[in-house]
Amino acid sequence: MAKCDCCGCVITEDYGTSQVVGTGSSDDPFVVSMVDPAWVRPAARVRRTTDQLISNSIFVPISFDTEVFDTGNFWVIGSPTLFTISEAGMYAFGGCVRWGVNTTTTREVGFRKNGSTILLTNDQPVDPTNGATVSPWHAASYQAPLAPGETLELVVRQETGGALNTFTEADDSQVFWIVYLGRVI
Amino acid sequence: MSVCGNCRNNICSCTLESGSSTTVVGIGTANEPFQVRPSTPAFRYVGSAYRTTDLQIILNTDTAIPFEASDPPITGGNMWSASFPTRLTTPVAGLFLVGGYAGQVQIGGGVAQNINLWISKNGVAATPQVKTTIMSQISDHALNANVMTLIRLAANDYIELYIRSNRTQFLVDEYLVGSVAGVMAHPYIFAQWLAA
Repeated sequence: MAKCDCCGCVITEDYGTSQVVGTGSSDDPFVVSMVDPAWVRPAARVRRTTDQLISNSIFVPISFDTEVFDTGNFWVIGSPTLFTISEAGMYAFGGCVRWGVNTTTTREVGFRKNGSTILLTNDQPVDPTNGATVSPWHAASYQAPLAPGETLELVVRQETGGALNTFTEADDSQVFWIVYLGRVI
Repeated sequence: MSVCGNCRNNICSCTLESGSSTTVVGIGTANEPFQVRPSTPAFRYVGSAYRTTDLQIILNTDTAIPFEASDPPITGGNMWSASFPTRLTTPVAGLFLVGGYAGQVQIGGGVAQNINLWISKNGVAATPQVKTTIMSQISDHALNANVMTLIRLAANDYIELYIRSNRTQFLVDEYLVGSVAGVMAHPYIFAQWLAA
């Protein structure tokens, strides 16, 4: 925070989208301008266009094959499960899958950071009656501060005793998205 | 550009150039100094709507939830109107964070009851942008669902919050509940513009 020494003008910090130059004196007044007028909020949405077989009882990252949009270079086809962070800050992210029909236990959707840390899991219990006929959709979203080089995955887990598919859908299954919200101050 | 009026002929003449990512408040006096705050795009074009009365829905039918009122928008861009109560219509093109919530009371002990809740755009119910399913657990408990996703929308696109329930009985008792304070929240939809 900068403060003008004559009248108390205060220049507060922002989320990294503007910059302040000057000292607040008459010879060198504060001037506030955008850091980069062409700045675009980093965001991405990817999807998978084929079904994916999910093994029993382990967290499996969804492997994506199609970029819907990506203004932050989060995703590359060579690392199809990962969003990689290039700018420090707070991020919102989410995902959605559709499970195959099965009558037992629960389904989980969550987010894994750096290949090992589960940030969140969202459980969706399945009862025998519904599970016999319903192919359920399952969505989750979260926010977290992330640093450059860190990675995020959309992970799923099921414990039916065998493998179970997640299905491809037009826009709402096997989808993963992320958006930069701002610098953490 | 704002100029520090009281100090102009004294010591300093602070100047603040307007930028689309900043907002300047204050007049530059000691009691009311300039303060530069982020007018972050995340806080533009926010729209939301909710309903506070129960709504009877028909079994096995995709139902766009009609809302009854909107939260005041933080800035310009009213997205909801009573003329199109199911819709949030985008004033500008861009990247939007969208989502919603709804819940249904259980019936028949909740046995085999399930609901789907999803967001679709421009009236195409069959192509959700995000969707979730909630199944009963054969217990006397309501079914609550929420969704959120990030999508690109064009100007004048609209989103709607859809629900579908599988119940084939007790339809008279099958409600979206907004008036049961402390038990279930109001059905709610929101859209927040994040970037062009």
